[in-house]
Amino acid sequence: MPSSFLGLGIAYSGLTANQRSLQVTSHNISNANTEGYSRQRMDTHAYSPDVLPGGLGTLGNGVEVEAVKQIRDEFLDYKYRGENAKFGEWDARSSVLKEVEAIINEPSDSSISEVLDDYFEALHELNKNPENLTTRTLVRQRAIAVTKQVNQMSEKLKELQSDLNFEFNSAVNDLNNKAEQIVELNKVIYETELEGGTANDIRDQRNVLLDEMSELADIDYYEDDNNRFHIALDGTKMVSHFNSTKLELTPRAKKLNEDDAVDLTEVQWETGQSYTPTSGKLKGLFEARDNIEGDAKGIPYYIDRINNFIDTFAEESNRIHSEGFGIDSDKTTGLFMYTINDMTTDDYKDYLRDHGLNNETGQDGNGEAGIDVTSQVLNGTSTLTGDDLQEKIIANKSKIINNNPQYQGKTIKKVDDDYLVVDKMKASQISIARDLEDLDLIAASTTKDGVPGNGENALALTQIRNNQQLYEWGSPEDYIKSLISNLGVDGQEALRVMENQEVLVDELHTKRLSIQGVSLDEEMTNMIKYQKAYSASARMINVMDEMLDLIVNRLGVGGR
Amino acid sequence: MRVTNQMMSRNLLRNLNRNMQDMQDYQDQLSTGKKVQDPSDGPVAVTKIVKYKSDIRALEQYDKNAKDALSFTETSELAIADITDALDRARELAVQGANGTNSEEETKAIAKEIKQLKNHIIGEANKTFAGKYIFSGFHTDEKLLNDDGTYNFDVTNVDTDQTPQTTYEVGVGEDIKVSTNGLDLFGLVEKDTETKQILENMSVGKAKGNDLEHSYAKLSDIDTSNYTGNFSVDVGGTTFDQNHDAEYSTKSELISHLETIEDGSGNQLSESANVYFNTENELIIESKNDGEEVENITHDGLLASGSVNYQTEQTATNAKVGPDFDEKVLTDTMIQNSNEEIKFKFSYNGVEKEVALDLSQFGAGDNLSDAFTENGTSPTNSLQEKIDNAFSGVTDYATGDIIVNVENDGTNDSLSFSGKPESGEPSTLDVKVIKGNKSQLMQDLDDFITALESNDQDGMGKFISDADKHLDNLNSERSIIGAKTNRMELILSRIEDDNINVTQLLSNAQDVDMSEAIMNLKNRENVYRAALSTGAKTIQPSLIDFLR
Repeated sequence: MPSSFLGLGIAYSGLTANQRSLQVTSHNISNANTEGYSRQRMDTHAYSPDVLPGGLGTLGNGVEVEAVKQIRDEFLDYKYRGENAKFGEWDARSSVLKEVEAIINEPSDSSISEVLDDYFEALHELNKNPENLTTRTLVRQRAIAVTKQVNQMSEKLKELQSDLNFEFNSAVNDLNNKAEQIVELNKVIYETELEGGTANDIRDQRNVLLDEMSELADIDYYEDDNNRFHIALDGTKMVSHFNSTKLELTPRAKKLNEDDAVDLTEVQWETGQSYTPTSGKLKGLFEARDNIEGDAKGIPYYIDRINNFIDTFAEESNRIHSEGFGIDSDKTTGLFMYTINDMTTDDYKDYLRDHGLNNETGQDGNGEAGIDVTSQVLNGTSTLTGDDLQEKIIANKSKIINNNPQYQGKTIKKVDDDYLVVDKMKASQISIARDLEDLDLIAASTTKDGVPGNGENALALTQIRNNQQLYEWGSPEDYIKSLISNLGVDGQEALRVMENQEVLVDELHTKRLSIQGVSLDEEMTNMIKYQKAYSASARMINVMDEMLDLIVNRLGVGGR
Repeated sequence: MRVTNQMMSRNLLRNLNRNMQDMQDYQDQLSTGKKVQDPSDGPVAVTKIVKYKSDIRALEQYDKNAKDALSFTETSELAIADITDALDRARELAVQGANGTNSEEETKAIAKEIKQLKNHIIGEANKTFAGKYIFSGFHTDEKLLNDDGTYNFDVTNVDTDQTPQTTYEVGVGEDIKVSTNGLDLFGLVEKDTETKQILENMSVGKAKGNDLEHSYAKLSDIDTSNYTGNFSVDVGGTTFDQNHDAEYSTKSELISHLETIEDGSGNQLSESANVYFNTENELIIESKNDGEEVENITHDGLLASGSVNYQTEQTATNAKVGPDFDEKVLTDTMIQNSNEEIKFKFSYNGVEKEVALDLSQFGAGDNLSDAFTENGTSPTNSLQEKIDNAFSGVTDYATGDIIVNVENDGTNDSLSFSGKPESGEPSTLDVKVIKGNKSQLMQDLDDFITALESNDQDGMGKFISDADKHLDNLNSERSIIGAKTNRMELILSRIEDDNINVTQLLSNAQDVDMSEAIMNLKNRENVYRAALSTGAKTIQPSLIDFLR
């Protein structure tokens, strides 16, 4: 015979279980739009039943609340984060290349190739009318336009490099910050879970932080057997339970590439251990800022290519110009067309002789003296003079440079009759030779007797335009074409990979939402379900109450 | 698959965004009229566009050049046609004058008309095109002929040897010489036979002395494995052989080892010599100072099999012009028979002086050396002395810095000039000889006028043949111009064709097909609208709307 009050207990357990389930449903609905929230569910099971004697089976004792669980697929999290790192990397690369494209600005009506076309046109007019001051003015103005154009391109690229450095620094700080926050959450989660159960909502917060970190860098994470949470970055533990190791930013002592922007930073672990990003936004930014070659070419590559372009262009123009004669012919022989930092030809020659090597600023007082290759550095030059010597030196230019590792990236310039190993002309520093402020000194004539009517030197200058031997990529136009084609192919690839990654990441995220997201219809259904069950349990209590009332108040009162 | 509310809103947003992006792309295309905006939109298309645009700019310039060339040659042609007409008239008058039946009045009247014709020809000779004198060669800012028919500038050997012609470029590597040289049209009255020979037989031109070079030693086939570290070298008479205890296994170690070898008084080798490897991997020890010899190297096993090779380069040399013995023949007789003045222009290290030598002062018994080199001897002034006088007072010029040499190779005498090095620096010397300044055509006209005025029948008759010669010459110049004009017209039409082709190509590569782009934009717009309307339907309702 069961106890009279047992029915009340069963109904009560139903009341509380359904009430709690309603609470969980309500919590789910409230957090339906919370970022990173995973839906929760109340797990229940039937109370252990009483066994009825005599093989009558068991009699249920109501419901027992087991745990509030969250529904989340950790494998999807893992996949999402792996792909997210790649997305971060290519997203950064793609947006940098977009900006480089804007700086190179091809095709447009104000691009470098247009400016060069203008310049060559002016030279053609000078060839036809060398005695005319108007054509001389035009040549000077157009030459200035060429120098300003490359100055600006180079400056803007360096600005972009500085901006990238800032962005890189912010990303590193962000990563440190998030690691720190995770340590704090680790403490709360660990302490909460000591008593058993799971700290669902706080774990969600940690997962959001992990998602965010995964875009920045390639992270590995795991929870050990003792519920301690760890994050490793490139094999080094960044977060270990209650501790975190930070990445440290230090100013770079020596420029990585010759013509980098100033004040770039280096990243390493605070323990002194080195760190190179292997994936994520950090890697994208790092490579875009530092790479001068390789698959992922960065800003330094484009700065270097533009320097290389303008150096050869200026050197060839100077060679031709210095062989010509201006109207005031005695003074003109040997004048350059382009120098750096507004120098006169003589100042620039002195500069090359005394400070031309390893000079970052282009100022006197820095750098080392240019190294003379006139003498016996190159076998057999001693018997040659003039054009023969020049031919020999030009033919062996790369041999001379490559035989001496310290001359890598340098060039050989003709200064009067000497050939000097010096720095390449930098696009940020190039200017027209100040001598040419006197328009009469523009050397349009090939002979001293030819002034003013001889314009053949101007014609020789225009022929740079079609000189297929000028660059390893051909003529100036070919060079620009190759540069923008490289840029275009890289930009296109970055954009394509980025978009693919985005689709992949979105797809995975959708899958995650499919599992962990709150469905309002479902919650509504549950709400009704739990509400009805709650009402029914209450009704059971009523029934029990009536039964007890019957037993207590009305039973055994017959005949009274 | 379970579908949640967040999923739906995210997907909707993403798809809307994607549609917007597509619409933006087409909008960009339509608003700029271009298929590609950035290199990454289509690297191949963009490089093509850049190339075509540049090609068009070049073609436009070539078109302009060809048109200018055409105008230039047309102007020249008109002028020459005018000169031909005038000369035809002069010839007619000569025929008329030479028939022997004219009175003095009549020949004088003819002379008057010839003077007018001469002035007319001078006017045409000084014709300008866009402010330039077209027949003046490179002297475009000076008229060709003076009013008396002489050339406005001295005609030097440079003007006659290299015909100055303005060149325009009308295609890649395709040049056209547009100008006609006045000298070719009007000729030059030449000196007497002997003077002419002297002028032709002299070597004149430009020269530059050689650079200073230093003494050096070359050590080939370096191998440090058997080298004991004992090294000794003399530089400028000082022996460097002390203090050899540095490392020397690599190239740079070997260099620093050798650089730090000292002489007896603690001076290092690096102060007196440069030590380096050349591109053939030979070790070079080169003295730093002029005239210091590098010699007496002992190296104690440093070379595997090679040798030490001592060389000394020349110091600065004279800048020398001429001679070429094979062709240049000068004789004393030429000096003795010549009766004219020869003018030279000397430009020594950039300073130019004109020197005139009157050959008529030399006569029987004088020889080449008297005229050119001997100072202060008979009769008074030689060329050498005149040069020294002309240059006296020029900074850095000492008497005899420009040297006039008369040399004999056994059979022939020849004349050449050299400039001494200027304080160790190489000198430059440029010698020009002035060939005259009187036009042959003008001279013939002047002779004709004189003949008319003195009623000299032979003189008048001579002009007929002179005029025929000049007319032939003018006609051949005109035919050259005619050929150029034809070529220009061909080139112009070719440029036009090219321009049309390249413009077409550019348009294909760059321009948007408007109707296609608009159609695509409309398509996207429809998709976008559909997405919006379905979104509005699916996002809105939920079970809540249906619960009481």
